[in-house]
Amino acid sequence: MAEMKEPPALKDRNGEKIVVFRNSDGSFFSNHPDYPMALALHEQAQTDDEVEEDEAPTPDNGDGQVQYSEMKSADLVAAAKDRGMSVPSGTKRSQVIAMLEEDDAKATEAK
Amino acid sequence: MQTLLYGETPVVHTNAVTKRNIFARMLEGEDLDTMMLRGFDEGTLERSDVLVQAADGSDINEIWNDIQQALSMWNTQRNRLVDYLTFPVDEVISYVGVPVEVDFEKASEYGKPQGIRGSGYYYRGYDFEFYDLAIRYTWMFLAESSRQQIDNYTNMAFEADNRLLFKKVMSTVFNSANGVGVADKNIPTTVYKFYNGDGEVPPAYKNITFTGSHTHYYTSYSLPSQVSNAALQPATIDDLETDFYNHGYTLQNGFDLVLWVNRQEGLKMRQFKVLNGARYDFIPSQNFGGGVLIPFNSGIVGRPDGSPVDGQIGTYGPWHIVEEPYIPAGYVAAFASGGFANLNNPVGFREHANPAYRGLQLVPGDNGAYPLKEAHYRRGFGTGVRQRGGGIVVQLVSNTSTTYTVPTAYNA
Repeated sequence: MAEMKEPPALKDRNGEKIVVFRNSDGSFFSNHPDYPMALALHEQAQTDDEVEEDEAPTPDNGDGQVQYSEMKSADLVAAAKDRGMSVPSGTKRSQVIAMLEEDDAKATEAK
Repeated sequence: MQTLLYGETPVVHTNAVTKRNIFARMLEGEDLDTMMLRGFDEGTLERSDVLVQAADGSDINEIWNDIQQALSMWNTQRNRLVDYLTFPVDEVISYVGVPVEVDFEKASEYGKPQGIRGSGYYYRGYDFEFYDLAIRYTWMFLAESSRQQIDNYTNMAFEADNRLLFKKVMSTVFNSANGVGVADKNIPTTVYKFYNGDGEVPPAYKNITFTGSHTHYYTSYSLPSQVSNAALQPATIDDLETDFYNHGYTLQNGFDLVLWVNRQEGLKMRQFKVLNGARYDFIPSQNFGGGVLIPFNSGIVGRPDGSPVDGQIGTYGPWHIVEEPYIPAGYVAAFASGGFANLNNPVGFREHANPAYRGLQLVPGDNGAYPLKEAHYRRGFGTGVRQRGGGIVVQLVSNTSTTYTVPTAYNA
C-alpha cells in the first residue's frame, strides 16, 4: 500500500485522544462526537500558522464595514483562498491584505 | 385435425394428456391421435399445453414445492461460519449485558451498604434492509429447460444469499464507522461497531480500566508490540490475546478465540513455532497437513484442544485459526465467540419481528397457477455489534502508521 497521509493528532474536550480512521479513498473519519469541532479548531490553528503576523489587526471602528485591516489573519487567508489565490506558508499578513486589495482593484477595473 | 366452426363450443378436457399418463391411457385403449388433438388444436388452452412440465417432464408446481422445502431447510442451516460470529435477534434495539464487577465495602454501624448498580447493560441497535433477487422464468424457458437447469438457478440464488449474509456481516466487522438504524416510530438508533473510540467507556474488568478512546481497530504498529511488517507476526496475535483477556473474554469465561485470516496470512501462520520465537506452536488440524504422531500406547500427542470451528486450519495457543477468502489480505479479524448462535457472540443478526418475513423466501409471481414464473427471492435482515469488546480487527502495515484503513471491499 502506498504511503498515506496521517490524520492530525486531535484531543477531545477532556484532553483525551480522538481516534481517527481512514476510508479506503484516503479520507479520514472518526466516531467521536467531538471530532468535527476538534478538526475545525485544528484547521483554524493551521491557517493561523500559515500567516506571519507582521502587523496586528486594527480594532473595529464601528462604521458598519469590515476593512481588511480589521479582519483576523485566518479570515484573510480564507477569503484569499476563496478567490483562488495561493497563500504559501510564511506569507506576511500585510502581503495577504495587499493581494486582496489588488484583486479588488482588478475587479473594479473589469466593471 | 379437427377445426372448430363458428358457434361451436370448444371441448374442455379435465383429464389432460401428460408424458406421465400418455402410455397408461394408450394401454387403456385410448387412441393416440385423439389424445393429441387437444389443447391448441381444439382451440382450448389446457394446462398441459402451456406450462405444467419442464422439458424433462418434471412438474413445474412440484419444482415449486421442492424449492420451498429446500428453502425451509436452508433457513434452518445458516452459514456455520457466520453462526459462530452472530446471535439471532428480532428486535430493533437490544439491551446487552456486559459482565461488570461489584465490590463489598466495609460495613458501617448504620447498616446502609452500597447497592449493586445495574451498570452492565448497554443498548445496541441494528440496521435492517430487505434485499431481493428476481428469477424471471418465462413459460418458454420453463417448457424448454430441464429440472437440473431450474435447480441450478435455485442453487445460484442460495449461493447469492450466502454471499450477501457473509459480506454484510464482514462489513459490520471491518468497517469501523458506526451506522444508523431505524427503531420504532422511525426513531434513528446508533448501530455500533467494535470499540472504535466513540467515547463509550468499556466496563472495567478486574483491575483493568479503559477510556472512551479505546479502539478495537488497530494497525499492527498501533498494538503494544508495534510490528511494522506487512507479513503477520506472532507478536501481533499475542497482543490480541492480551486485549481479549483484559476484557474478560477468556476460555475460562466460556469464550473461544477465533482468528479469521486470508490464505496469505494463513500460510504465514503455519510457520509460527516456539522454536522460531513464537509464544505457541501452530498445530494444523486434521486434513490440513496435521501430521500428528501417535506413539504406540501413548495416546494422541499434540492434537488441537476443543471442538474445531468450521473452516479451521489449525490452532495457535488458544486461537482457532480459520482461513477464509472473504477476509481481505493484509487484515486479520479476531473474535471471542460463545459458540453457534450464542448469546455472547459479538454480532447481532436481526431478522423481522414477524416470523413470516424471516429467512430466504421465494415470493410467487403474479401468475397464481404457476408461481415459479416471475418469482423473486427475498431476504430481510440487518446487523449490528452486540459485544463491542468481542472482536478486534488488525491491518498489517509495513510502516509506522497507527491509522486503521477500512478495506475497500467493506467500505460501502
